[in-house]
Amino acid sequence: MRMLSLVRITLLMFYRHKALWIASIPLALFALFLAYASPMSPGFSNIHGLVFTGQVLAIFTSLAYAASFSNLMTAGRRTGMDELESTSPLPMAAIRSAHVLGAWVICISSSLLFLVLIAVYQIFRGNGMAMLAALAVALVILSPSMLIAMGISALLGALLPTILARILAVLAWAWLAFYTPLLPLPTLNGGPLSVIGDPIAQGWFHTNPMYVPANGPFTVQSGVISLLWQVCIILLLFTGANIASNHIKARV
Amino acid sequence: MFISIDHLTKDFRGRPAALNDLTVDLPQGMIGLIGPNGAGKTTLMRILTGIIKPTKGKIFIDGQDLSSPANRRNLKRHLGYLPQHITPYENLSPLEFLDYIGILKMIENKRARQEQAHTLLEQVGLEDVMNQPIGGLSGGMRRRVGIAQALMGDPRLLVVDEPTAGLDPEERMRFRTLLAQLGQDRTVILSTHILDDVAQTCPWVCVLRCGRNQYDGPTEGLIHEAAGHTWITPPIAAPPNNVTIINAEPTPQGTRYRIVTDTPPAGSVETAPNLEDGYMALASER
Repeated sequence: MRMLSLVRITLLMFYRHKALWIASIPLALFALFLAYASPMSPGFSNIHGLVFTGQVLAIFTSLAYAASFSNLMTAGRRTGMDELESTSPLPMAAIRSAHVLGAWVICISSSLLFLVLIAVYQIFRGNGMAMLAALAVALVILSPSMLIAMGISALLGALLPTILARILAVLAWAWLAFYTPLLPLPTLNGGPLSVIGDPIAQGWFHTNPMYVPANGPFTVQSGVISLLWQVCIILLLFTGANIASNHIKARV
Repeated sequence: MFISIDHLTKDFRGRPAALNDLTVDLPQGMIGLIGPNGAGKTTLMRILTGIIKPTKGKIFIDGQDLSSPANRRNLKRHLGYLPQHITPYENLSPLEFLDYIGILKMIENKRARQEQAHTLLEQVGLEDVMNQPIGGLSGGMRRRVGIAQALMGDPRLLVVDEPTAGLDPEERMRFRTLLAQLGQDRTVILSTHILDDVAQTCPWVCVLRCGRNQYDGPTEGLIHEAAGHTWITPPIAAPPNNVTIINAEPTPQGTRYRIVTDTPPAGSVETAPNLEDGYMALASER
């Protein structure tokens, strides 16, 4: 209950954060255009279209979140709110988790809205499972990618000056999302550790992956491994950001 | 709440010790915490509020050792804190912000939080703007939001760092009165450079210098440090040498100085000391 109340207030804060909307809505629209116009696009009329759109949204909107959340753990240091929140009997990790959850709800809402609109269109065309699929895509493809981008940004922001952290976080996300396995440099794409949803999309929804899998098509198990891996990465990134932020706070 | 600080030391890497073997007992009521910049006041308050841990030493509050996480968590339920620099979340209104602080202080009942927030915002004179975004409020109004949040949850220990900085004279007096009222049945630690605020509200004072306790005791005792050493000079052209000048009052005949010294210039008249004189007398004793 307490956590819900904290998330509710954080939601309000991020909901009124104009810069977040200004960054995320145009990128979501751009992603939607790409999802429709791309030669790889299966269109908007079936589940594969929903999954593909979810992946494109995850890739492009996460660029904005990689740039936006470098001060997620550190803004409070500048404003004094960090000190104030430290005097709460609630653990700082719980307070920060509520902030992350609130930010995540706001971040996903614009993309989710587009997925829901596509699902409604599909329902009118007779696809009764479309809404469920849209929600599933938001949960297992869109959300992990967004949270990883936010986590990278938050961790780098806790360790580095904000502007440098923003640049590096965008570069890191660009490497994770766009680096093709066809080039002779290491990449997670093409394997089950990819963070843009290919293993889940192919393994669970039977779509064509964006990057050709290195070791044959992704299976249901690849999807499970991928999701667990992404959850671990998310936890590690935010725990690291929290620890780094606390460590710096104790030194000043 | 009775606070006992026992050989407290805080080292920050690469800097002189912010607190250096500080030992002091603080009784219940209003306590003025004063000292020059860098004396360790803010560090002491940050340790008292559980934000940072000491390098060495202990703090006992009503006999409970704060080095125990359970005791620290218990204290935080009864703690109000106003940091020196605070910018409340600008996207929230004062009412929403106080609601947030209420959640942080584990006030479970939403209605109770809202009622308390309303009352406190009225007490600090923000009832007309309680639904406007904090980002649009003046610096003084934001400070008052900070003061109101420190009082959420009816804390038994209130720690306030420079609370009246940025307030207009009317608000300053209003807040001073509020603090004095609160200090009747709880412990309030008031850190400030405005000695007049301490003189008006705090029966007990603690002076820190270079992380050490230079004085702790009744405020009257500190004032007494300057008894027999506080003088008003006749109007003179140049400031006297080898004295501590408290203030200077220009007159058509020259400047009249209020000084603390054992050897006043000829024609000086002894006067009753105040807290500023006592503080300066103590500072010049080092």
